[in-house]
Amino acid sequence: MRSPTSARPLIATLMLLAGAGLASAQTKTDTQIGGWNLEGYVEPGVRFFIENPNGDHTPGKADGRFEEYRDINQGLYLDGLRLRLYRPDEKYSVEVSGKDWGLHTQEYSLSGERLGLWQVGFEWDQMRHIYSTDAQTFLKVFGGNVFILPGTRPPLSTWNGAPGWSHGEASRGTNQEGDGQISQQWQTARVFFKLSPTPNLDLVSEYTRIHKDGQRPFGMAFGSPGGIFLELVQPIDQTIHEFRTRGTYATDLYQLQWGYTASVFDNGFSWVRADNPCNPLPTPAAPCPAVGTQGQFGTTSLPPNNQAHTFNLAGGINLPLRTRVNAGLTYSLRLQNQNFQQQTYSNGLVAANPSLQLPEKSLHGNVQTFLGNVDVTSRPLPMPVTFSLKYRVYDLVDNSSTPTFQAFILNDQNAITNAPLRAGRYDYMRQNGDLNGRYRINSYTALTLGVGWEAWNRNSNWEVTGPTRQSPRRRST
Amino acid sequence: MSVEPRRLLGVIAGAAIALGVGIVLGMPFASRAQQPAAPPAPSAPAAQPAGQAASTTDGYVGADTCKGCHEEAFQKFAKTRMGRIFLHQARDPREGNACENCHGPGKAHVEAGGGKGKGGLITFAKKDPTPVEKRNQVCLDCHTKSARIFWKGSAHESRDVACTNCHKVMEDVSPKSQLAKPTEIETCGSCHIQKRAQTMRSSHMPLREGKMTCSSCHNPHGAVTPALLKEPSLNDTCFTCHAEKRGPFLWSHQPVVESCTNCHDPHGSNHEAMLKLAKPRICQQCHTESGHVSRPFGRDTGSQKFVMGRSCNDCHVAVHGSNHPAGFRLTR
Repeated sequence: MRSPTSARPLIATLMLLAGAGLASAQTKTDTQIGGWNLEGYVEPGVRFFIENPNGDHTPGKADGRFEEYRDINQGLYLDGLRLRLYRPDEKYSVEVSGKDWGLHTQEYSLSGERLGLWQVGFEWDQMRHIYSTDAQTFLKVFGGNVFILPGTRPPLSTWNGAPGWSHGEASRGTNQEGDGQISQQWQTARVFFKLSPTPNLDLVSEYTRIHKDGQRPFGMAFGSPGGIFLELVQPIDQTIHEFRTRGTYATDLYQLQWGYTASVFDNGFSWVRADNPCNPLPTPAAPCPAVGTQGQFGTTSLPPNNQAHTFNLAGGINLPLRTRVNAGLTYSLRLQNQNFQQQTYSNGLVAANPSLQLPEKSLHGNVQTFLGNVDVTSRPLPMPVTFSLKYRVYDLVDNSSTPTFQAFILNDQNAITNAPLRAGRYDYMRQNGDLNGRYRINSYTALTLGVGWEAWNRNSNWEVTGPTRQSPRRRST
Repeated sequence: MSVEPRRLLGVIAGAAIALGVGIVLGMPFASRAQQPAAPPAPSAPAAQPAGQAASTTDGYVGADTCKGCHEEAFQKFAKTRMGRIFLHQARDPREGNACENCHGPGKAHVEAGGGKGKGGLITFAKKDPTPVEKRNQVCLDCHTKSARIFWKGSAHESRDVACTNCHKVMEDVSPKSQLAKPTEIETCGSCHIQKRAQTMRSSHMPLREGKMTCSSCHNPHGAVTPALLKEPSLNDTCFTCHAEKRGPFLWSHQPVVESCTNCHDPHGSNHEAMLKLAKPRICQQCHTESGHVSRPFGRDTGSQKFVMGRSCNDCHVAVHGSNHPAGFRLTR
């Protein structure tokens, strides 16, 4: 006799199709409202699961891959919306669109335009990235970036049985079971304005703000290299502000384009701190090292605030014999000057040892890039033959300071290594050149003969000068 | 027949009926009745409407003449952005030519009685004998600005890719950019099949979820960078969204400074974080394992932590660069 459970998937599929057919109605409209025309569509839907793989987010239910970038809900959802209100002569119009309203992945868009002259708009987009749905840990988080273990550290053998990670703030006390989810949410807002005062001229300005909020998997090492480490999460509260403006002027003979981009990265957390799972342990045991060799907690720097300014100028001109010359110049400046953390905070060594004092408060980070390119393309013959010559150069120059640390503490150990360390900078220049001739035999076949050239020039910091130097960053004593 | 199969058949029949009813109820409808499209009459040239402004002396006959035979295509085109500009808000006499701005003067076509291949018009169809360069020049006469400034000599142009290979001008198929397919990934993926397949791998950027498109990173109309990237360099393209990796950092990681693709494959990978290789092998492409012997098997269980889980990143978390004084090994 056939088992009843074998029919369930078929039944579920048919019911789902029927329900989708009933509920997922697409309504299109084209009507008039107060002298304006309205056109567009609305696509609502309803969804239900016979067996929800998302479950109730209990630890051990691994569904992160299924919803890695999506929010799949049960019930009503908006699959699509686009409504456009426009004058009968098409001179002015307003458009609103959206999708997934009410979900973590919702999108909105609102724009208005004077057709052929200007356009202004606002866009909002949300996205989430789920890394894990079954994380387990004894850590509790305070203030978003301080991770605390119980005063008496749990034996290492008990960590596999730790409760589910709770990504909200929690007070010290009895363990509170969390849903084990590690994720971050992106929210992107964009405002733009486009102006075409003449058919030859386009001007665009836009501002984009990307805000990221949540956590992602992280780690922290303690002790000597290859020693104990702790798995935790990196708190994320990051915002990218980007402002772009560009213009293009085009005629039949030549085209010119210019632009400026400013990008500012702001990190709400400049460091993360976590308790050392080996200190204090009531009964130290392998792999924890001997008591007294490591600090009670560790501190890691998170990505520092930075900014970049980019200027570009490009153009092209049409020459006789069906020849075209394109050229472009781009200059970019990257800056970063966030204050350094101390080498360690957990054992009082910095205050007691002048060699651990910081030589500089910050990096005075300054990286400049230069990009130049020239392309020449020509079809001088009355046959399908194209000749092209290209040259591109990209030069990165790092003018940041190169502080030398007279001593260092590795991984928050209770030991100082008195060996100077200098932070090197890594400049490089890359050049590319191509010379090609291409003959098109027919629609599907072409014969190309050419030569390509690429050259990399890196500064001396890239080279290890001898067997006694472990890395370019360590100066021998 | 036993109870179980009978019940199953009943459920299937009921679901099929419900599905059929649902499809009928869910069909799209319009509140304003649409006029049925008149069948084209290629043998009868349309009469010139009264007050028709187009001049026939210079070979142009005007959009209304085209509409007389090509009503359905005209109505679809009128709904597009180009159609609305040409037909309602033309900014210069060239745009005012509407259909003939792209297809060419229609007088010879009309006088020949219409029909395929009559009058020397550019149809932009797949079998149009007009050379691709000439077809593209029609588009470039207006669309040389902004993203198309480096079209000449670009990878697509040098391979005779026509504008109409990717764009459909006569009707809106996609929400934006008048693409030939409903989405960008389908349009680009019609030729770049391997890249499209890569986006289906387990570790990927959210292209198939609709949160990114190919043009988020690439400019298919031509760019100064290899692989037609929008920004001056590959890293600058990545930093647009991942500015936390931009630095500069106190302690830099050299392969990161040069190119993100030294380690990552941005189109998709079967390894976490879109790495080209699984850890620790990706690191061991440059770093010898003499410091941390990484053996997944055998009795040396201490080395297994270097190949399991997050592997090297358990300790070397600041792999993109560190701004910590003690971060020279990218552990802080």
